[in-house]
Amino acid sequence: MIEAIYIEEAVRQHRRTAEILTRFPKARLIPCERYGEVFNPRSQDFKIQKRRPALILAEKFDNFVLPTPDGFGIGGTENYYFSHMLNCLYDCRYCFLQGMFRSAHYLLFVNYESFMDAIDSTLDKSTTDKTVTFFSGYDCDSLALETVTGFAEAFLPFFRERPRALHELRTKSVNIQALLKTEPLDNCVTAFSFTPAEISEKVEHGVPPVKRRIEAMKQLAERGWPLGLRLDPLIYHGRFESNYRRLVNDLFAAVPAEAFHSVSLGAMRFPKAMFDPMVKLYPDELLLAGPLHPSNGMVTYRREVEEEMTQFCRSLLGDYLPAEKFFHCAPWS
Amino acid sequence: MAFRTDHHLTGSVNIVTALPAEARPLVGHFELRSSRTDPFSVYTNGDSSVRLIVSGVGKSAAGRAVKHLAGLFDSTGSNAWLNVGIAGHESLPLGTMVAAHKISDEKTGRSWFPPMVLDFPCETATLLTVEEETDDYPDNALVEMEAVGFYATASDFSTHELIHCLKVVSDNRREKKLDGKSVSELITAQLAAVESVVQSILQLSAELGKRRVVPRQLKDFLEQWKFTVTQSHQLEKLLRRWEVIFPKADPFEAASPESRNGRDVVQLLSRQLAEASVEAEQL
Repeated sequence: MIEAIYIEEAVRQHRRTAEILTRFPKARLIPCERYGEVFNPRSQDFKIQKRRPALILAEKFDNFVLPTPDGFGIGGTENYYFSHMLNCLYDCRYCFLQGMFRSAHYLLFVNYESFMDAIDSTLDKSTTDKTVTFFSGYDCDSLALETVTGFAEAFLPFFRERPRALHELRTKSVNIQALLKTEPLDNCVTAFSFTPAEISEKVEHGVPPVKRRIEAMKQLAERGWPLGLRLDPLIYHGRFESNYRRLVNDLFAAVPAEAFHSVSLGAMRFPKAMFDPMVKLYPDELLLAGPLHPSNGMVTYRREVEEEMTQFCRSLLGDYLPAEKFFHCAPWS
Repeated sequence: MAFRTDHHLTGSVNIVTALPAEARPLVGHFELRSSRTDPFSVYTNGDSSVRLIVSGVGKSAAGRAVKHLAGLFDSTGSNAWLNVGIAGHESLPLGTMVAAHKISDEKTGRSWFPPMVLDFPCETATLLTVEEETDDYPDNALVEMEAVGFYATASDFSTHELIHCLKVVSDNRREKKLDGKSVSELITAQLAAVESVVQSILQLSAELGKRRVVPRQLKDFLEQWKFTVTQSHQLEKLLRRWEVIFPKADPFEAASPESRNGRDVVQLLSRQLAEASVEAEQL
């Protein structure tokens, strides 16, 4: 799967680097000073690299924990996100990462302990006794590369000891073994994002089928893990209503409503600065060709289309979940 | 005069060698013909999809040759670039071919990393570009004199995935084959491998070129209505989207009846595209 691994000299001897390298005995190992030499140069082609992404093992020095945009949250008053990795195993055509980063390589920061220290500092600085929420899976999928990164395995015990913190693991993966083999945490929400199977099959390349993801949710629910449902992005198409109705029915037929900690909805939308490079990569992609239009620095559906989709899905979900479980955690909304 | 052949759909590759002895086997293999000699010797094949330039020795010369070749041919950003030449290595047998996965400048310490997106028919390694010939072989790297100048300059004209260096070992601690005849023989022995890399990067070049094809009706629109520079850019994007969403509908017909000027055209096409309905099966 990974044929080339770039390694910052500073983390060559890191315990996590050594563990990861044992998984890829045949990969070519390429030393570098700083990851930016590989990840940041201009004139890289995300689409070509995405066919054979390399892994970059690096150290992060600052900005470990960042505040989420205003209004983004799942019930807590203080909301932060952290990214142990940049880029994703999957290749969703709507993913903003392909418009945000120049490189498709997986950039993994192996110094997890520095993230943990920053989370502790954030908790210490918190002015209230209320829950502080930490989102992972904003710049990558939280679980998709778990067998390589050991991210959940490292962070679940950490959050178990910090009940004031609420952790959201955002994912499309069915790679849930790290969760199943430990006791459930009340303060860790595994949030699965979905589009209907008819859409997923076409635009979420490499993502496990909807059925398997629902099965993974069911397994987690049976073990007592709190779940999140993210209908984000909502994608407008001809049979929008029937396809989303089927998805929601399938979800709640398999997973008891009580297992859901929270749900959020967000229509497909992009900052224009990210959308334009995406279209250059995929000029023939119908999903990006329309029906979208630019508005206030964003590229979105028309307002009435957005509202129609959101209201419809909200109403579908309202049959199963109370209003207090609906939150707003779609970026740039 | 510049060559202006359109290779958007077939791809094109620019090969840079330092020495005539490195170039000769490639000129023969790719059936290239001399097209000019001043200030650099330049060769092209029949449809100009394969070009070769002899840069002379050193990174500065390699950089100048890249600039020269980029100026001669369309610089659309979709040309592939390949540096083929000889290099020294502490222990690798003479004749071994290696592709660069890292290129370092001995003088500045700066490095470049060609993305490993091809199936190379050989091992990959670090190249160290030095200022002068040396018998001092670095650990685990090939030593040569052009790659930094080549790569750094080519990356001004093309995307990194399309720029690669192939080096054939011509000397090690025990032996050297540096005369012209020997160098040509070393390169000749690796022509099949070079050919496979050329074919791979031609495919990438073609793929990139296709992404940048101008919508076929843009010219008609620009002749029919007056557009500001901003509007013409908007129009190009709209026509591209139109071809994807309404492949069977003529945007010119859709725009003609109501449009008095470029602004009307942009608004009309925008509105129709924003109201399009997409079926899941079409995605």
